[in-house]
Amino acid sequence: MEKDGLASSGNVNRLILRKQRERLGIVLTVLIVAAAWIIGYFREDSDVLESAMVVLPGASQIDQKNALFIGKTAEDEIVGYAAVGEATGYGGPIKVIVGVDLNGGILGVEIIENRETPGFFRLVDSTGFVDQFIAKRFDSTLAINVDIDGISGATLSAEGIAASIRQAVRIIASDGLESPLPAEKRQIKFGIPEIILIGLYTAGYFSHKQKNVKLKSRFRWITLTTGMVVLGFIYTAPLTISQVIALLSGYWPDWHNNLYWYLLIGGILFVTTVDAKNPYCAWFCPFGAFQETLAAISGAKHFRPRPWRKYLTWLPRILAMTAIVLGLALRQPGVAGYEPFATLFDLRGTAIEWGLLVVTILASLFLYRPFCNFICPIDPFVDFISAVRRLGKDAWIQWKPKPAQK
Amino acid sequence: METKTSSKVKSFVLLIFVISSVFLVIGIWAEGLTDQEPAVPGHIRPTLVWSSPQAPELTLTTNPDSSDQRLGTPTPTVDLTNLLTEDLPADLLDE
Repeated sequence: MEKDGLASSGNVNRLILRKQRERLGIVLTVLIVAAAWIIGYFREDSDVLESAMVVLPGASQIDQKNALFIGKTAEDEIVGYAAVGEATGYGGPIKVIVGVDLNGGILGVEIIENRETPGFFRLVDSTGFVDQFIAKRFDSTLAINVDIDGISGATLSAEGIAASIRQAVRIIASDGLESPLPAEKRQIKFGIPEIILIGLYTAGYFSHKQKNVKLKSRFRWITLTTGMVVLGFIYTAPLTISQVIALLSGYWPDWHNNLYWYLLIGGILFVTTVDAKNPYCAWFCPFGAFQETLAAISGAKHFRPRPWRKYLTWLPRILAMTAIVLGLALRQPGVAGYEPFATLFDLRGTAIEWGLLVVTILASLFLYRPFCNFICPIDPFVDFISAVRRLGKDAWIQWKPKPAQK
Repeated sequence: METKTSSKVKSFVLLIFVISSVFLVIGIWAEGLTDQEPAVPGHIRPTLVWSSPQAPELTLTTNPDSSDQRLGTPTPTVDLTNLLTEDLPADLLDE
């Protein structure tokens, strides 16, 4: 009896100690992330004057009038106007400068700032995406799939560039050419990926609560396969740490064109906060589903040796934290991401990203979801939200007004 | 016995996977960071070339090791004679 009491008291002490450590961890994490955010905030700068001459060929001097750059010849004749436009791409704002001649034809486009993943942003150059805008008239639609071709594999970057070019052209039209363009009609992009995503979140949320284990497992396979095929192989749109960093940096894309982004991140934040469950990783993460399929073929099982357990738990947390700090401090969400998702689903990546994918595929034949369990930064991010939720709940229980005693 | 062997193989695979993944992740970060300056389109380095005091030229260059990242219709060389001579000290122009 006395022993039971001692054991129980020991458990309570351990629980209190664990809670204290968790609180300290949350505070430290918030402080580190805040410091990285502040560092990144003061790093933001760009010099646009240098690029104005590039987009206004023939100009030997540039005058600036508010947001408008006026390119002039040595004889003081105006050759054209330039302006800067900005819109959000995949990793953050994309800033461009656009030059337009006096007849309204686009002379040049220069990307002066971007925060996209370098490997994918190279597609912009190699596909000659920006060249499509040259010689187009200022009053053209300048929209993807209308008079401009998009870039497969860098859709958000292409959308961001096109939107920033349109913004710059609007400034030139009103301030330089004195032919203001009518207000841009922005249509809400809502299609198959958005519908599938909402369906997967809903299915994951309700399947969690299913008591029948067999049925739950079947549901899980359906959502996993759908996630892998639709969000992975067809649309290449899994959740990445770059999106989380973009969210923290305040680089929120235009919701009309990027409703999927908001549904994906909003969904995970909402379900984790409300239900304390990770609705994504186990239910429809495309990369997790791919590893799980390999495990089903090879018979790989969970493996986490006891002596290494602590280190293996902390490894993805450290990697996630490093990625977030790096991404925030440099204001480069695209650079901080390291998941080889697009390498698998879009067959695009650098040699190192291919290396990581091959290593993961080989390990998946022996171990159950090795990338998810030991490397992926998404699960630690969701764990952190859960820990904050627990902290908030504890604080509420402690502080909520107690019913008056009779 | 078989389980022990299997466990040893899995431990070995896990160790190799974790170590190689960490190095590859660091490699991805390093690659992304070193890629920043020269390879990102739009990062053009202007160089003032004093070929002659009467005709200084602004040359826009990118890293010679990377492919040309200039977009649009750049003007590689801009005659800055009229732009700069007014601001230059007379003794420098005389040289």
